[in-house]
Amino acid sequence: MTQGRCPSCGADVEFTAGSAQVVVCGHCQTVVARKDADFEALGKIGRVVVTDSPLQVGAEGRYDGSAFQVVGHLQKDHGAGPWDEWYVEFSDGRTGWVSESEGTVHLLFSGGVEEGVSLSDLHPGEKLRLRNRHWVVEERGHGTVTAAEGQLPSDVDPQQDSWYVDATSSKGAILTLDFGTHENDPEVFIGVRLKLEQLGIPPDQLRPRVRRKVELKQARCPECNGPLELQAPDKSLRVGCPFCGALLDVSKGKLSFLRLLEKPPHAPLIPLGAKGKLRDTEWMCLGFLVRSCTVEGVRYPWEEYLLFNRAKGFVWLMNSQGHWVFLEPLAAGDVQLVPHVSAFFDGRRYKAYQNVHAVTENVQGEFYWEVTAGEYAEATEYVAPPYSINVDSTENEVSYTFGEYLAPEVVKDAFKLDAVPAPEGILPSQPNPHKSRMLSTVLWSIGWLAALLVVAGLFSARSLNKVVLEERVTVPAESSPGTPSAMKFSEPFDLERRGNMKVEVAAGLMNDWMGIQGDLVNQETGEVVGFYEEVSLYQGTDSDGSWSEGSASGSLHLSALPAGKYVLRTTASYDPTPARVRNYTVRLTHDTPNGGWLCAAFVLLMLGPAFAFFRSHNFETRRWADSNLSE
Amino acid sequence: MKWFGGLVVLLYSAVVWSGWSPFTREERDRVPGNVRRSPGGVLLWTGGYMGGK
Repeated sequence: MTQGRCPSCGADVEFTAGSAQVVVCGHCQTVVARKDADFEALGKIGRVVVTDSPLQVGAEGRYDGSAFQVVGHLQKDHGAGPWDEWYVEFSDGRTGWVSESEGTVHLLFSGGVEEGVSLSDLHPGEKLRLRNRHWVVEERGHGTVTAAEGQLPSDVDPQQDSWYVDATSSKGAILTLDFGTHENDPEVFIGVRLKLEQLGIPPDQLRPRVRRKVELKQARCPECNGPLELQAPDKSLRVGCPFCGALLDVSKGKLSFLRLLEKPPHAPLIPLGAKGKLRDTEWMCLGFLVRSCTVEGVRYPWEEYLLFNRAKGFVWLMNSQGHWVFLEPLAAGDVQLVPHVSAFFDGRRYKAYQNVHAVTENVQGEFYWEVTAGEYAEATEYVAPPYSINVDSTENEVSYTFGEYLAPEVVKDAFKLDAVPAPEGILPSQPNPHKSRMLSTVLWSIGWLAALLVVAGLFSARSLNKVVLEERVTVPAESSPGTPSAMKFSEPFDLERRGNMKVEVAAGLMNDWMGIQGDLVNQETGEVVGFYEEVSLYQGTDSDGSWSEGSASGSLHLSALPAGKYVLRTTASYDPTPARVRNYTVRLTHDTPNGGWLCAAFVLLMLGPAFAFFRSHNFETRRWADSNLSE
Repeated sequence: MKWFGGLVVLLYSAVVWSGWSPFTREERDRVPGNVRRSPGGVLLWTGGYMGGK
């Protein structure tokens, strides 16, 4: 520990952190540097403004098995309100920086200088390989140190505009490249995203979150004097007046008019300030945006609702043509991206659907960034219904969001809305309603197909399949076709039980035809079952080669015949010229399994899956019809 | 499909059990009363359809 007096005001100052080179005098805000045994005043720095950060100088915690203490505090301005960075020193000598945004704590350790890296080569959305890791650049910006307190590792210059690049990798890894005022060779800070609890700081050493107040008497629109109920004034940078459309600035702790915007075409479906429970979290609707893209001259608008929960931060609800998507922020480094082709996240592959230029048209409510109407962003969507990965890129920042499709009723019930518009068309990430039905249909079809085969097997096992008659008939040359002279009675045969009959006829033919009229006569009842089977076979050659037409055999099934004694009478018909001996064979098979019915049942069982597949495929075809990135 | 599949299997069972062949070209009739029987008792019925083209 090194103690002494401030060279500027004489107040007591002390160095407790071995790594600290300067200390900010708590009395006069002079930056005091230690030079051997002397103290030297380096200039003044602004006094920190109270933010809602729970950290404070002096707090002690434990991370990764090592104790640490918060010894210093910087406050920076990147153009979006005060940004806190806390300097921590570990008991093992390591030092780091802690910052916090939207409920997530970033702990970064210095990794030294990285030579050969140039600021001009790093743009949001681009990949970077550094320190044996792949990173995705999320943000590129600059800012100044506006205030400081406690002990710091080096001097701070409030006049110095420093450039930085933020990037993320998988598993919560984060990277900051601090270029300072240089173009090249940044100082590297590598760390992790944590929850505040993981820093192991006892609750009594954390500051209660103080909400930055906007004076209520000024919570009126400076343009139209309409009353504005700000829900999260400590988080907001912009407010869109719902009465007159004025865009107001909140960053200075009060409302100031920026510009007049066109009011949205209709009131938000989810009223500003409305609370709703989604994903077991109560969200409050803070903001409402109307954005659109224009493709081939056609404007496609959609709405975005900004939701806020003090513990979980900000999420979005997007409404497009009555379809709703719940969107959460996502670290770019957690997504493996092949731009405009596919994305891979959390074991799921997402297919590129569309790439558009989205413009913000109207704003209402409160926003945590400096939203402006007319703001353009390149928006790319990758889908794996019901999920989606959305990449919004501007010149200085790229943001990734993870979306999940919500049924309109879920939103209606969550926010207790009277009604929500019926969905129109198909949303890129809308789940295919026919897909699950198709799976169910296929499973049932397989089940019934198995049942059909079992039943068919039982019938086949039960059937007699008995040849009751097989005879070869010779028709004399002098017979006349179709007359009793060409008629033949079989020997009587018995059918021992009721059953169908398969009739097979084969004739010795060559470039000829023969028709067989058969009559099965029940000898007890006199009932006759008649059939006619004609066979023909013609062959020859022509310029194309040999040809053949017809068949010398044929078959047919007769319906069930009662048990009893039968005789088959056959009468042959044929071309009487030339007169010659003709032969044919008739075979009767009793109680035979009819494969035709099995085929018919199989076809019927396949109709369901075929129809389900058609509907599912048709849905996907319609979904991808509007894609401008699919092949 | 849950019920339709069951109906198909049921209909299949019914038609196979009944031996019904709706698409057969059979004709059902009865021999005339004046048909004589052979010495063996066989109906020697020579009337009816006479075939031919």
